[in-house]
Amino acid sequence: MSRLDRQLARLLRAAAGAQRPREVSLPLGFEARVLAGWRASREELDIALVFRMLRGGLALTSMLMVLAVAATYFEVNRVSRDLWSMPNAVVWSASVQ
Amino acid sequence: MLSAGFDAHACVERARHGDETAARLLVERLTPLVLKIVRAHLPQRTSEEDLLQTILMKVFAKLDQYSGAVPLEHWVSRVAVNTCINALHHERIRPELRWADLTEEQEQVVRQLAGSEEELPASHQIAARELVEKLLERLEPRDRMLITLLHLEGRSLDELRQITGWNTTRIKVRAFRARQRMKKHLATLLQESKHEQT
Repeated sequence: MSRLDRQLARLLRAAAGAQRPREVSLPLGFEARVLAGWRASREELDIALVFRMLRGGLALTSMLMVLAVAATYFEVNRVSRDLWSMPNAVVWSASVQ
Repeated sequence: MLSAGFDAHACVERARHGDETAARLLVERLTPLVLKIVRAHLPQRTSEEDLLQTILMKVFAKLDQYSGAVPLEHWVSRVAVNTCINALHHERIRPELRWADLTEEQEQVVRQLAGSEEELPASHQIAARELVEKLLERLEPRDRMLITLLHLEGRSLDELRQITGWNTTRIKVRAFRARQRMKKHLATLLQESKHEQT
């Protein structure tokens, strides 16, 4: 350990020994301000949660709508094919005869 | 340290569910701990009260992230230390420390260090602390914090690991480099004190 190391160590030890007694005195209403901030942030969180849920609900509804439209499209296609199958059969049987 | 008999986990759990009494109790119990950290690491142009409020608000905002894996006071200390470091980042690091920057009492401390191998007397402790603070102003915020926690507050390496999130090697290396920089400035002052005497 060099002389400079020892000097710094002594300085740090002396500095650590310095007592600065300062009581924990906070201005009036400090606690109330912190709690008010906490309450406000909780309300913000609640609003954010409601918006998140709304967004989720909207996404789910949109997905269901797309599925419903797709299902309807396939159903209409299938029904329309069925719709023409009878006249086609009649025309075909008439032409055979 | 939070007082014995205080069930921190239960209190946090209740505060998470919006219990105002629990939140009030947390503010009461955590304020002295946070205030101690703020006072030890307060940037020069920052209000103690503002920084304290910012830290407590952060603690409450992050309460859901507290897993209970470490003691509550360590987790809160970490939030406080990181907030102080962020505040310190806005301060300019002073490059040089000259003899002319010292008060008369601080000059005496330097002379005492240069002229004797004995421990500094108790009457010089406040001046020694002020001198150390001047040396710390020449360091990076994280180094400043590290030296304060390690040498002025006497925290253990284990505590430092929990507060900073660094491993032991990183703490030791960083503290060593910080002390080297402090030594460089102290050497300049010791040199200047010799010139003053001659």
